Amino acid sequence: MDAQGLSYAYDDGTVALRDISISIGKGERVAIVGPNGAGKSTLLHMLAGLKSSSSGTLNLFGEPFSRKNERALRSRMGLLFQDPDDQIFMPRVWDDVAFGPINRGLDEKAVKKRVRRALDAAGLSGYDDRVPHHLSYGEKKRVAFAGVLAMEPELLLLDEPTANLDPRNRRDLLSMVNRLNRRGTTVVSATHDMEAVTELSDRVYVLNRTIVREGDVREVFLDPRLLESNNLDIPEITKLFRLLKSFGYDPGKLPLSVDQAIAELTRTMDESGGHVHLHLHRHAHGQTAVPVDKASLGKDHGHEHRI
Amino acid sequence: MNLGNVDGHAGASSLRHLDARAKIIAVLTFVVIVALLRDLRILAFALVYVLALLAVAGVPARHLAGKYVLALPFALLGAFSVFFSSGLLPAAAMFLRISACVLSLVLLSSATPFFDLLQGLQKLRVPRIFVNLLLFTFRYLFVIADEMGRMSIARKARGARSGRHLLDRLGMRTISFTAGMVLVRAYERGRRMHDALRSRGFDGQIRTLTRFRMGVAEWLFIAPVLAFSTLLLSAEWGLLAWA
Repeated sequence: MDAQGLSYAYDDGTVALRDISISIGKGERVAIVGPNGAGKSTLLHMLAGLKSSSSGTLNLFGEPFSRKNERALRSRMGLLFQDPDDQIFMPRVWDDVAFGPINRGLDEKAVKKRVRRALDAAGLSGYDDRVPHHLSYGEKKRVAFAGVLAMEPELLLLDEPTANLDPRNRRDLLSMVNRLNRRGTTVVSATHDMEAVTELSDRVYVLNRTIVREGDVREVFLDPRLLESNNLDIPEITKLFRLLKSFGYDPGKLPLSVDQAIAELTRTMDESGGHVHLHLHRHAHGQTAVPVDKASLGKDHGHEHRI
Repeated sequence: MNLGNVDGHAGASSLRHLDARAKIIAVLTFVVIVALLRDLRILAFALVYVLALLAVAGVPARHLAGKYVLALPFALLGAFSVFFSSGLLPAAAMFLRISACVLSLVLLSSATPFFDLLQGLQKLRVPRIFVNLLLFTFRYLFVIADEMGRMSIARKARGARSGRHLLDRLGMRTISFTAGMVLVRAYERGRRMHDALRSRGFDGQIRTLTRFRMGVAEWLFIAPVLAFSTLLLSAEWGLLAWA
């Protein structure tokens, strides 16, 4: 996907996006982050070919996007809307998931197979005949996701995928997306959930009406001024380790997720014979540092992977 | 707003798995023929027949009564207007006629899940736009009702009271703003939905896999209904000696 110089203005003339250039390769995991009202959804809809730009060019799968091929190109992409109620329109779960594959002109057998697979993958076995308005938000999100899965898209666009989800639904959604990515699906997510960014992407575009910055996740996360000026934040775990650093524990590389933190702690322990030493000092005015506590974590090698 | 049981009894009906087309054709034919009947005794027969069909379909009496009560004012209104122009007997006939028609439509809707009904209509070549409109109305009625429910709770949480009478200006103002907001939200939602449909390859036609076909069971349902309708009509036209 390659976009050059895209712009978008709302009906009332407000400029939503200005001179956006983005280029994403096959199989990449990219996040578009930005504050509320930065134009993330609008950009995602433009990339999905649903809103047309007032300037610039959009190439999808190596072809220039135009009226002529829009349907063909769109059928290779899947867009997961933030509000599943926008997406689910059929009165039965099964039929809603089947909508995309049927539009693609697949025969009955293929449609059934895809719907079955999508429903199972989304953890919705046994939901075929359920009625959408009786489902919980998390279940609706799964149905909407299954509807996108059934299209077997090469490019997956996610609009605030983790918004309003409980921990379990959130975790499941993230792992479903990553499973798809490992099989070659390109994933582009728009979000301000920075914890999700570390789990869903390797590269980040910071968007605030225009692209403010592009870089790999670590690079962007370790630029506090950039994040602050765009109403963004770093994950809590990163904050903790930054705090530990000022207390004297030096993690070579600041971890951005719990997994990375575990890896980091394990490495330190292996290097220093099974211990992580934290020296906590209280600094009193005009005095030298006095050690008040000495904590050690994970003495037992057998436990360190099970934090 | 409780819209939860629109499809409440369709799932349990013994006629549920019949091809929706069979039910639509049979019921509509019956309705047309009942509309042609004038004789009170024949109309009574028709009514009894519908009630028997409802019993066979396993429609609970309470559900039936609830639906019928909704239609009762219309039946009474029709009967009254006929009473003033043509007298008692035609008025009674009008009342029975409307009742029989309404009950047969209740039969159709209570024995068929709404979605199957739509698919049946589509297969019977009812114009796409009508079927799509019904589909979206049905699905989003619940979403909008939910939204209105939430808005109403939010209003109450901030101390609003509902309009007690037509002259309660503050109450009325609140209601009119709410109505406007619901409209705007519905419009915005419509736009997002259209985007969502397009991103899944929508081109104006909602395609589904048909899960039903006209088999023996369908004909076993249609045939007696059509036969009985014909019988009623023959009686009405004096083609049967005993009528």
